[in-house]
This record gives sequence, structure tokens and C-alpha cells, in this order.
Amino acid sequence: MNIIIVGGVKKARYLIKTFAKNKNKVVFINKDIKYCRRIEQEFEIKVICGDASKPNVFGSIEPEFYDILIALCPSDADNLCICRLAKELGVKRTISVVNNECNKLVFKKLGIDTPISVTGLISTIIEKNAYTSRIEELVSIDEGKAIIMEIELDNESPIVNKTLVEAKLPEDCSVSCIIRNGNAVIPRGGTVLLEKDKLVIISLPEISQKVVKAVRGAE
Amino acid sequence: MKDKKNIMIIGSGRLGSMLAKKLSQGDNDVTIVDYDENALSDIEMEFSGFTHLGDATSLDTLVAAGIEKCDVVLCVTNNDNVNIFTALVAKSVFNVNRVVAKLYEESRTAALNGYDIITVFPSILSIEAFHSCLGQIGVESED
Repeated sequence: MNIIIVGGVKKARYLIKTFAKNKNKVVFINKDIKYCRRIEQEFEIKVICGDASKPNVFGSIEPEFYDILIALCPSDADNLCICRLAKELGVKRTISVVNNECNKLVFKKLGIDTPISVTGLISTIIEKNAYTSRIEELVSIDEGKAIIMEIELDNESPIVNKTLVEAKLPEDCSVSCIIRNGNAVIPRGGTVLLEKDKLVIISLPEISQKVVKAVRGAE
Repeated sequence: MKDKKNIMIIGSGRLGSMLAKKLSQGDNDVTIVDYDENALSDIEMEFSGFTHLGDATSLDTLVAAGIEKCDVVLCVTNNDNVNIFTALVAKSVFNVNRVVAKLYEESRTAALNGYDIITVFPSILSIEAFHSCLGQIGVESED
């Protein structure tokens, strides 16, 4: 894949390291000359020192051959302008950090393919962790249309030592996998649920609390 | 026929504050937004509209400042990208009738494609003014 990474300081470095390893073609653009030099010395990639919200900065590469541009600036206004310009110049998809959660929907509306709100993610994780720490939300699917949770059974759980069918978990959820003693078990209806099993459950977000209650009992 | 308009000015710098004073004298409802309270306090004494302290690149600030009932939004901060951002938000999210953005760098206009946003380029206006007065004093320059 051909990837353009714009802005960011520490975030950029990690991403460059990851992508450059896998034989992707990476270009890094940043306004700060010192930082550009550091990246140039550390990685064998093309580095452009300049303001990626101005078209002339893309003059030495052919943007239409790039699959992704990732915008990592601390300013949402900069990221938005950079991504919109990139699309005009032919870059196929844009990913952007969104620093202010309020702006996430605007980014989507204005054509940024994948806006990522870090503060939104953090607040979701904290909310979910508010009920107990032995429940982990692993993945949100398609912007929250479904979620995957991992819930550990203890000996007070109402469904421990029952089969999956006997457990009668709510509709709209499904136990896709059990992690037992470090191994993954794909359960069937007759699988018995044991203490310390970690159930990986896909569920609709609106019933997630109901699922947690059914698995762990009232707390 | 000139109607009274509800106008939001984003950026209380030299241009923004002068626009605010002129427009509020013209009997329009003017709100000026800036994140620097000094910039706002400078203007407070001299114009009859509202000031709003906040970061215009945050949607909730614009809503709190009353963008939903604006007929006109003028994006005149000293940062092109902020002007582009707020202009795009005013058009795409709030459907403001008339949106004008000041841009120092004309090449950044590409980011506004697809939206009916008027642009004002101070550098080009200055060049035209200089060109004209140089012409008057007999100095030739490329057209």
C-alpha cells in the first residue's frame, strides 16, 4: 500500500515504523524541519517538510497513486483541510485523528473516510468499565452497531456449570468463543460453562448491560 | 431593499472587529466569536452586538453562540484552516445562507470545493491596489 502520514510527532513515528516494515511505501509530511530530519535519519522513507494543507507540498509525489493519507495534527481544522485537499488531489482514502469528539460527525459529513476520536474512545471505555473491571469491551463493530465483549465467569455467576443452552442468554447476543486455560473453545449448545471461563460475546449495544447481568448476576 | 441580518463573525482580529463595528452600525444583529478574551474585550466597548468567548472549531461553541439562526457567517481569523473549517461547518451542518471565508493562501481553496462559500483573498486585493497605484505613478509592472 502507498501511505502518506501527515503531522503528529510520537504517533507518526510508531505508524511509520509499523508500515515501513511491511514493504508499504510511506511518505511523511511535517511542518517541523527538526522532526523531519529525525525521521529521515531513522527510516528510509521520503520525507517532505511543509504544510500539507497547501497543494504545492504534494508537488514531488503523485497523490493519485496513494491509497491512504493519515492526518495526525493536534488541530482538527488542520486535519480537516489536509484530508479534503488530499481527496481533491486523488488520494483514495483519508483517516484522521479527531481531537474534539464534537467534530467527529462533521468530519464524516465532510468526506473524511475514517475519523477517529481518541477522547470519545476513552470516555466509552471508562463508561463501560464503570460497572466492573472484569468486563472488557474489545471491539465496536461498524461504529457501534454491534459490540464484542469478553466477560469472565466466577463461581457466583448464575450460568456457571450450566450448558450454553441452559444458560438462556438474551436474544441478540451470541457466545462466539470461550477462552479456557489459555485455549480457545468454540462452544456448542451442549458446552458446559466453567468458572474462570472468559466468554467472548457479540451483542447489540442496547442490551449489553442485560447480557452482563445474565452472565455475572446482579452486583 | 436591505433587511436586518443575523451575522456571526468568527475571529476578532483587525478585520473581524472592524467588520463587527460596521455591521452593527448598519442595524444588524452581530455576534463575534473568539477564543481570546482580550481580543473580545477590545471590541466590547465599541459595538452594539454580542461577543462570545470560545473555540470556534468546536461545534458546541458555534451552537452556543447562536449559529443556528444566522443568515451570514464571516470566517475571518488569521488562520486559513480555521476559516475553512468554520466555513464548511456553517454550510454543511447549519445550512447558513451566506458564508464568506478569508484566505491568505489562494491555493487552499480546493478544500472548499463542492460548497457555495465565497472567498476573499487579502493578498490579491492588496496586489491589485498596489498595481493600480503603481500604474498611476507611472511604474510599469506585468499584468
